[in-house]
Amino acid sequence: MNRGIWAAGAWTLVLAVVVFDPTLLEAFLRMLFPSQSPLLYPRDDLASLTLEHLGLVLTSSALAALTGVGVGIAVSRPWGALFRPLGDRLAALGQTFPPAAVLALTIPFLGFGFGPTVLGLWLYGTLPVLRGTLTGLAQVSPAVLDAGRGLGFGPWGLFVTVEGPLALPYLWSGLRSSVVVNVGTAALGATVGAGGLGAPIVSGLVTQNYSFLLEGAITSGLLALAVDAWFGVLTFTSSSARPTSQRPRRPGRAPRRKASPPASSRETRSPAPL
Amino acid sequence: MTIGFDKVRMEYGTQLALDDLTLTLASRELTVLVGPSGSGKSTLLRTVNHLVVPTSGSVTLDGQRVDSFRPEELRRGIGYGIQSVGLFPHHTVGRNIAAVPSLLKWSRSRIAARVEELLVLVGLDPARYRDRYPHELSGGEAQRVGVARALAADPPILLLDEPFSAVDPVTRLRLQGEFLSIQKTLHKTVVFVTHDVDEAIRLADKIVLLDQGRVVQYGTPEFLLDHPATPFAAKFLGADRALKRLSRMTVAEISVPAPQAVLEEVGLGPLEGVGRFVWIVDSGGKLLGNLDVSLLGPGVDPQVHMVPAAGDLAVSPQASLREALSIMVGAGVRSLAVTDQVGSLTGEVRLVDIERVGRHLSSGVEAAP
Repeated sequence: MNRGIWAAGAWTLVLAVVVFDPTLLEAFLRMLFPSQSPLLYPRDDLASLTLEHLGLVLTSSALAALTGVGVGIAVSRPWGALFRPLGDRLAALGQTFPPAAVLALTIPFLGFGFGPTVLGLWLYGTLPVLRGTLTGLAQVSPAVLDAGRGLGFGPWGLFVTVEGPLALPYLWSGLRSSVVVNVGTAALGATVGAGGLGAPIVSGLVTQNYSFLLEGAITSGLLALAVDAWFGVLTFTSSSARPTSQRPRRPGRAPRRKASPPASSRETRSPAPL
Repeated sequence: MTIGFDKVRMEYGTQLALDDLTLTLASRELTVLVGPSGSGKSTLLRTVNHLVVPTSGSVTLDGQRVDSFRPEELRRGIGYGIQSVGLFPHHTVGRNIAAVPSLLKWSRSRIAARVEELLVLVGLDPARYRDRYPHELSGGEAQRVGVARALAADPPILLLDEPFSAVDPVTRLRLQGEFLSIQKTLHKTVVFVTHDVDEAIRLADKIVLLDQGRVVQYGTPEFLLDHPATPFAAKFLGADRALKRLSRMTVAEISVPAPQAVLEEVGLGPLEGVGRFVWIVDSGGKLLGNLDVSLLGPGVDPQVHMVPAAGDLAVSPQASLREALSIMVGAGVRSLAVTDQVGSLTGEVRLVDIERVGRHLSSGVEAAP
């Protein structure tokens, strides 16, 4: 847990140094490509590219978290059970569908830029969250639920006290892979003009300037590592470790908010890497 | 609290789980629902706290229909324990037990005191167990916590669905014994489901024997064993009904004064008022062994012929007649000494008396089919 914080802090520091002091990255790239000039993508500085990139990821991941968790919970309720098979199939479909294809499919409807990229990332990012939510809810032992009902928990009380907390570790890991994959996938947004760290990569590919390419790739890689590490700080295990490790990290949160912990905790966490 | 079932019918699709079942369970008694799997015993139990809603018919508590309550409130007033226990794996033992009191919004201090009291009641040291998680408990400990959780808000009714069947036989026997003594002090209206006839006979004030959603027979274990109503009942209760019946009776019920002699006095003169065998005690009344009087003669040391009572010749007054009979058959003897905890001879239990009780019991069995 504490080691997690150190790792997350370290990656964040490295990222911050690279982003805010481009001379270091420039020196490194000069070693690799001594004859190349310019070494850094000239049209935008690294800080604003990273910010753009994060904007794409945050918007689409927030939407993906809300939809994934929402749909996952809905199809697991008695009233949504009819759509359960559909949810399962969608969740399984997720990883077989290339993100570039999602982007390509959205362009005819939304045109170029921020909108279609967010939509593509949103749809693509929803599936791991949905999968995690469904898995998490499905693995709660029927006996535990039966006992809970028999003791007098209503549907909402049972969800908040028992089902939700027990599903949380699975949901959380689904969200984690969704967001981390999104950091990488968001680079594709540059192909439809959404900017972000994909811009130097695409430009580097087009102009055969591998220094640009590395600039974007290294920075988005560091960003992915930092985000992943911050997710690792908050790991939920379904039994003993959770209550003690969790309580001090989330002070003052009303219990009912636990219904959608990934969205809220990610929003409070993610600014930290900046 | 009296539990009434009136023409309760439960259909799952085309399957009939309860067939217009009518039954009244007496207040403050431990009623065991027993029957083969698929007989509807669990379904019947679950209609009481409205986890199963009957297709037709009514279930009442002291005359009040259970569907006239809000289901959650009804259930908070009824203790519920199940075979797989269903402890919340992410809550400590203490928090698990506190589930219903928390729902009822008891104060913190009242809950803490209650958790402590219940852990003691089910035989777990509060200091050691309160902050453990369910995965750190043995099967038997988890079952105890399950019972404590069911008892937490002191409900008048307790529903237990095979609560002891997931533990090993030795632990099960101990849990049954402990539960009986808890019930002796609390006198809850208990509905207890099991498929184990021996467990039913051991625990029940009344047994309800179910088959295919119908009541085959309702009565005390003794009555069912003596007078099984149908061939099915006779078969389900087993060919060893007479033995099972004996397991409900204790040695103390039929023990008689023992023919005895003090060791130091044997051989000093003719032994008065004893048959061929006599129990030998020391001057303090402590059992030493058994002596065949016919082997005695002038100059014979009685200690040479005395069979020492090394455990297999004596039983405690609380032992069941079944155990006593088993010891007799095993040791090949026709009577056993009855001794108290310190080993003093208090009487004897004789095979003829057990046979007499058994014959009396089985006469009803013969008449039934």
